[in-house]
Amino acid sequence: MNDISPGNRLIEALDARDREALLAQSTSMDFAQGHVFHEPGDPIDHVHFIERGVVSAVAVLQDGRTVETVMVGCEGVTGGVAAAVAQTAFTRTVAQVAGAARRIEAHRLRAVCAERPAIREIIAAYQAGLQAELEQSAACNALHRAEQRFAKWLLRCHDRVDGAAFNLTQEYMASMLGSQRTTVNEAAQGLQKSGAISYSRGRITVLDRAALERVACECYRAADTFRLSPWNSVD
Amino acid sequence: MAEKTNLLLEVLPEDDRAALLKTATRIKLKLGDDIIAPGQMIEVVHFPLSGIISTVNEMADGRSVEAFMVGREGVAGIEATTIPMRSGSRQTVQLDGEAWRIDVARVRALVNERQALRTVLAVYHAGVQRELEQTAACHALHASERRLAKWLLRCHDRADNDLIRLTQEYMAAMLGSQRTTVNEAAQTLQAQGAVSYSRGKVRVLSREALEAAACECYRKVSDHLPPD
Repeated sequence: MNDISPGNRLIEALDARDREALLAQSTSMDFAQGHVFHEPGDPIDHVHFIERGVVSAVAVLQDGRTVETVMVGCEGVTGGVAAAVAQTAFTRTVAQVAGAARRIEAHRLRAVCAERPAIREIIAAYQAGLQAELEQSAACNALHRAEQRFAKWLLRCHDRVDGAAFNLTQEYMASMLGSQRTTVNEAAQGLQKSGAISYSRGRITVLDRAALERVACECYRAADTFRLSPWNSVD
Repeated sequence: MAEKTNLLLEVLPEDDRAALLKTATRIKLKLGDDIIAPGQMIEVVHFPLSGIISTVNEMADGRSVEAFMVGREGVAGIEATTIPMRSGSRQTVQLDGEAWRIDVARVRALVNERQALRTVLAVYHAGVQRELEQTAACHALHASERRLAKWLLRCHDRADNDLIRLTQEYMAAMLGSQRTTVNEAAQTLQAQGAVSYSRGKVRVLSREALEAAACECYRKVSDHLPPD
């Protein structure tokens, strides 16, 4: 069942022939919160165009600590590096919020890309946006306080979910930010006090986006200028 | 001394390399030169033959942090080789050298026609992305001293000799640290016999000691570099 509206913005941006060529090679899948798409070192056998939900790429260090490097929702694709050449995964790719994706075998995607420049280009635009975002994050993680980074991260989650509320434990959030749990707890309490969010028992509700944006560092806007509208970055 | 080469150009099939270099200009990279400012359209790419181009992210308050560096193993401007793109960051020369400068529209036209060129650039681009992901985690978790050691190793990998011109102010701007923090870190590395540092010059004395001081991120992101 290939619906006309696949829900992924990259696929939607393709013209009908390219879109059909891509969809013909792909299948639909649902994924649960916590579903692992790849562990570091796994060959990237499948590429996922996300339709709903949120998927995180997480760097895993030798001591087991982790930091999220990239967040992907319906604006993007996971494993996009494998669209051009065979690759192994560098990060753990895991579902942070349950959702759905179009799943395509990486070698089939490469074959489609070899023949269809428009598909190659839209993935390249996305990957270039990702690069800009990662450059920003490298600086952000070196310079900005946990509370600012936390607010940025919540905004980015909120951008990618349907409702105002999502389920996230403090432990999980700490593992995304590379912070101590106590640090995340303090940051969450600060945001709660200012009325930006409410937080209880692993459930976060965004109450006031404007307040969150005031706390977040400039990196929130800077990254999404590229990310959420990759084609806007082109003259 | 052998003719300087760029390692990406070197692995290309002869006719792809010739097609790329047909319209290339050989330029000098001068310490402190800006290649591109944040937000500008990327018009040219640089394949360094020597020297280093740093990609530096700048914040509104003027603080900055290096995201990654490009030497003779790579190409600066890779993100615009498939589609037109703006630069998210500043590219600036960190170490004197030379580079082939090529119009990026020309590169895109060739990339579109030539599978081998597309593959070589895609492998490099994937390496840059891995490195950036590791760096994002590194900057969230690792101490300044370990990051400084990593960064010096990466400079040294791309430099012709053991003496690198670097002021503390410059290193602080690359690491996003206070100058005093860099000073302390440099003194520790000096006490360990890894480097000597005086008047804006760092001399690498022991790579082993530097590697022992660096975080795991050095090895993890240097896989794509040529063996010594």
